[in-house]
Amino acid sequence: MAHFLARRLLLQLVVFAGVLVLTFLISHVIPGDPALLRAGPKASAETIAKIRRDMGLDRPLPTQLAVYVRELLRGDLGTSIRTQRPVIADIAEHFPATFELTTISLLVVVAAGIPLGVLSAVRKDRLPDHLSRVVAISGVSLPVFWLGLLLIYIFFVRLGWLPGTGRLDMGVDPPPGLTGLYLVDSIAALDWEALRSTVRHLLLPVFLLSYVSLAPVVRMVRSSMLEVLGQDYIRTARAKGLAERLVLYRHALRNALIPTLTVIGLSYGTLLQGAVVTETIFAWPGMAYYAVGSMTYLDYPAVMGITLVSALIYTTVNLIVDLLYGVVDPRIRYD
Amino acid sequence: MAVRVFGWMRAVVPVVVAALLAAPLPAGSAQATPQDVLIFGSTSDVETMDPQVTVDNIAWRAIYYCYDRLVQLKGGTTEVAPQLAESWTISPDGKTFTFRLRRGVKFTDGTPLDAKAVQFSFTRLLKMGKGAAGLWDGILDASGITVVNPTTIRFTLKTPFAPFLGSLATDQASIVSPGVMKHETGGDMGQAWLAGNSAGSGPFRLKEWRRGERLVLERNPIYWGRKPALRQVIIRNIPDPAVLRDLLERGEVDMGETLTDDQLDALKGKPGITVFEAPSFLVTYLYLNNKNPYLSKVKVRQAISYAIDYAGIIRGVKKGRAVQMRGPIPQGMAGHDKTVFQYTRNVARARQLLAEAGYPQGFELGLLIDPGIREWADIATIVQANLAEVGIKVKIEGFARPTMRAKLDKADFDMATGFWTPDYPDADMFTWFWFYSKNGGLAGNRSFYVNPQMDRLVVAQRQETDPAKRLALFRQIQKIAVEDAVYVYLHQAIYRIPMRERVQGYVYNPMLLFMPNFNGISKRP
Repeated sequence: MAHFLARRLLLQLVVFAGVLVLTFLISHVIPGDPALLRAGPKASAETIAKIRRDMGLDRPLPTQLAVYVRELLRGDLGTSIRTQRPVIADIAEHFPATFELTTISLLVVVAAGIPLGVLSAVRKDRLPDHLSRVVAISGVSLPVFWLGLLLIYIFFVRLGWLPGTGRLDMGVDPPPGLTGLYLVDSIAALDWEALRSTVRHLLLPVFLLSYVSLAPVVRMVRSSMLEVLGQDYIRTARAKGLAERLVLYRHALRNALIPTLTVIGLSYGTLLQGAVVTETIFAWPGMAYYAVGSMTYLDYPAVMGITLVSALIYTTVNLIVDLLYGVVDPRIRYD
Repeated sequence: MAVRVFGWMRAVVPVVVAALLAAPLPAGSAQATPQDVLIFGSTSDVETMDPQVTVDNIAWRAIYYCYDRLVQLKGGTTEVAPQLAESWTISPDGKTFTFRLRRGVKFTDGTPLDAKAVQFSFTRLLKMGKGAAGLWDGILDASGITVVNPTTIRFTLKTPFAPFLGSLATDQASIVSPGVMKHETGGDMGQAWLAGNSAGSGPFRLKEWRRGERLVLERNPIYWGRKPALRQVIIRNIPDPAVLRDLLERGEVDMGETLTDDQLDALKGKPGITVFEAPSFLVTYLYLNNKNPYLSKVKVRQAISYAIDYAGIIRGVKKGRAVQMRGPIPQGMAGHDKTVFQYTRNVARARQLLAEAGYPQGFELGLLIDPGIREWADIATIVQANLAEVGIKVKIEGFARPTMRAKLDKADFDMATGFWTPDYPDADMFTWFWFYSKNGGLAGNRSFYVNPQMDRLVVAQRQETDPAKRLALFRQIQKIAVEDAVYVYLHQAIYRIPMRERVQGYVYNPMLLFMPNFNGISKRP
């Protein structure tokens, strides 16, 4: 186990270094100069030159990269060009919103995707299977932004049932709290108005995000269930008169879940991607929203910081998934 | 069998459905906000709260009323009136300004606001040398700021600068408390801290800011002047204009910007909504890069100026909400000459000028735009069609803002679209910046125009202390600027802002674009 972990962590470091160098190069070769934005529309050449010097942009690219890595090793992600604050503080402020959104969406994906997949497999080639296929495939095929705008149009503009933007209603004060997760904070503060507002604001973005990420899970559960259901031990279980529910959930699903776990781990990546569009459409003040703002400003330190943190989250989630294999399938051993 | 398998879902689904149904409220019934709280919807977020860093109007909106300045703009005018300075004297050579300060003013952090504090504030601004300091480049440095006594401060300029007094009313001239130095980290003069806090003496102070979500200003309890009627101003970040429009209609937002002209037209006449309209100093124009061999010829630039359908652009792009410019200085700005020649569309004259310039067959030019700005994309299409008629083939080149700006600064373009707003209330903003040969690039002379006679004139008006003589200089400048067709002077926009009818006391000042007077606004019950 320890050996496995060490190997995985080492691999993670390699991935990390790759992401770092690639992002650094890509963001810095884009034509454009953040100093010009910082300096404002009417800045003189001297002001621009000074700002460029302050930001270290006048140095050769390899030197800039070396400086960045040195600061990173000290735990410093640099100062955002746009907000003039430490990038780590900006990310810490925006992270809870994204975490709340993606985690709840992941739970919905799991909670809806597994039963739908099982249903599809059990009722193969019948109406429920076709319906679940339509749901899953439409989720991946419809463009996220279009679906998001449609949801806003129907539920906010036409019907007025659900809010279309932000995390709270206009007049509601955010719950006090440390986590920044409004669900947790409002419950902790017993602030029911904030809780209600938070839940209402979560509905549309969570629906959108989980809907578009549902397909791989449903399809994977379906196909592995079909495979498992054809096996001898299932026939044996049924033959000895076991309740169908136990056959499906204790015997079949557990074995069908192993490949599904991988897909769920990967779908966290899809969720993070989908969050970019979802947060933009719903004005959800999370990391992706911050990332989009930073990119249009050529805010190198912010873009680098977000990319590294996203890579960290993604690789960690997949590490956890690998470890979970052992829990789901006792035959799997790490060494 | 499957029915039983999904039995648990039968229990869960009704709960979820009930929660969904219980949640909705009928449209428009969201609780009305308190009478002393203004909810302002903004489609862009603030980048930083440090007045000595940012040059962004959206940030200024949140910052401006957290601070005082030595002088202020009187109501909706461009006239300068006392604020922290009770009175001032100007030396005959126009280089020394001495201000007598109001006594007993304190910053929200408790630090007394005296001459030393004012000196600190300007020193911090100039020492940091961020974009916000750009206004005083080559005009003022830290050694020119002297504390005469605790209530008297003197500024000695390196060169006479007629607009100096007006420049002290801008957001960049906000007086920042020396208390920020307590929050200094790594020699940043408190920048990291002030980016997310306020340290002024103005009618409001920053209470809370959740980035991308909302920014709350609260009344400054120890404000020296008239207390604002509003206890709080909540600036909500609502990036989608369509959503903002809807929230305004429902009354969940009291005021907001920026909506498109179409949306404003749709809002107008809706019950409970007013759309305020007035001319602004926001001008739209085309840069004609004089380094381009074609555009270096006056006749070519004049031909382009004749070929453009100004009225068509105003009608089609601005839905009539703009007036055509007449030279560089906009209407309403002191110095504007309403007799200077104004180009109108004349295709025959344009063709004739091109032939005289030696290009009867025409040529090809690029037109640089940021396609993210809808107005520019629309203008580009019309300009392309207009110039095609006289034989100039236009290739529209769209680049994202940072790239476009880099290209502008390096003269790597032929023609480009642009906006300009004045930072201080003076025609200097439309002359020295636009035509002085040393300002080539982003600094302001975006046509890279070089004319020694013009250089002399734009510098002379800056140093002229006699208002009548200055006006005469501005007349000469405008005449040359139009004859030489340095830019294509398109139009000056009409500023529009929607608000609920219950919002009272709004005063528009064209110099404070996107910065409503939160200190004077109140709400009817």
